[in-house]
Amino acid sequence: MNDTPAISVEHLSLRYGGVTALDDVSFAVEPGSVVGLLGRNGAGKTTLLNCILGLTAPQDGAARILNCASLNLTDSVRERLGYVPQTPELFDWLTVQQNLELIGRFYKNWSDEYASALCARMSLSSHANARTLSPGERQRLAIVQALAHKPDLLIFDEPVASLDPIARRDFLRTLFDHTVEAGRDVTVVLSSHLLEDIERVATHLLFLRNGAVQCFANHDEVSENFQVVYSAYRLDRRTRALHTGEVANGQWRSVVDVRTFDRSALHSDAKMSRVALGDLFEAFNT
Amino acid sequence: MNILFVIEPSTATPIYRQIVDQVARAVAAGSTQPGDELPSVRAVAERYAINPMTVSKAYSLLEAQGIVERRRGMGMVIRAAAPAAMDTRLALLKPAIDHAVAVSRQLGLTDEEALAAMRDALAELNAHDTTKSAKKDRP
Repeated sequence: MNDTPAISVEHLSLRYGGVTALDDVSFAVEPGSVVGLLGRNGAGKTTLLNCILGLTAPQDGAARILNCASLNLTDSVRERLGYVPQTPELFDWLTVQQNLELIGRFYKNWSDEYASALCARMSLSSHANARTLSPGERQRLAIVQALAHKPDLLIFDEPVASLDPIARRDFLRTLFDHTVEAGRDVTVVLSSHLLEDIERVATHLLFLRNGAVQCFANHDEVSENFQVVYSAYRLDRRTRALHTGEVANGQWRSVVDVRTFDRSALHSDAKMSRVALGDLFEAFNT
Repeated sequence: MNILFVIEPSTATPIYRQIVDQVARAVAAGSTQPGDELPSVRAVAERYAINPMTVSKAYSLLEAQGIVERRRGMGMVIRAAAPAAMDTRLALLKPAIDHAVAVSRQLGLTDEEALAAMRDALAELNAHDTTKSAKKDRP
């Protein structure tokens, strides 16, 4: 196994005018991880992904992917990268097949065979004109484009937003196609508001709020060791940016939810342990 | 053996834990035979659209607990020959009982009323089983 992180982000900060898009974001992703990137609209998810991909330059800090500076990616690293943006850009005057052929030329490892198999799996007709595709079909084509060269690092910015439930399952399955086959460590970062999808595949969760990392932790650890404490006061100002161990209390790590506080429970904060991701997400964003 | 897992992502129980519990329950209940094969990691991941690493983690844990063993060329097979000891079976039942107890409290039932409901449910199940086997016995 390779010890170099697949992604390392150190002290990324970015402000637009008066808005803080990223606030001292640091984390490292081990190869083979599937990271679910969670946060409300405007939390900074897309900005973070763009900085990781080198599409946006931060004001402070730096990101590296596959041991290469994001702002200075080499061709060999680009070939190992797959990316699906929120709004896929396609060549509208070409067919699905022609779009794939054109993109395929840029990658040494591109497999036409695998691209066709992915199209079949994603129920995408290769003769359709890109202009006539529905938003969901455009997203599916972008997914095929990102996967057909069997990359080592995959970055998806809300890839399933326009997909129907069956296409979403198919998408989740394709994530592991070439991992299992080649026994390789394929690293995935996936932002989505569909928590159920994240729960199916993520090994790690990254909670982002107002541009800052609230929590970056192993998914199973989050399920088993996090509790939500309903309280009138935050236990600790730092719970707003919770890092491993900071609010540890024996086995439990507490996330404070101030919304549903019941005054009668002033001396005994109501606790909810082993919370589902949706509840945790709300607690993190109160 | 054709174990059909029930995978529920949006609960507080991690998916690997759901798989471990379901195999452990099937073995404790005696509904599996020693040597029965678990479905492959890939098949389970594919079927439920989950991460293969999660399935591997569950299988490794079952192996560590001595419930299954890795057999060359076959994958994971059920090991335990004897049905689980009484205390193991009761331990597996405990979460369901705890839940039922909590709900009966919420509903304001007395202990006697809750116990009677449990007895009724068992009687209903027994009656159902008897009718089923009676039907089966008919030529």
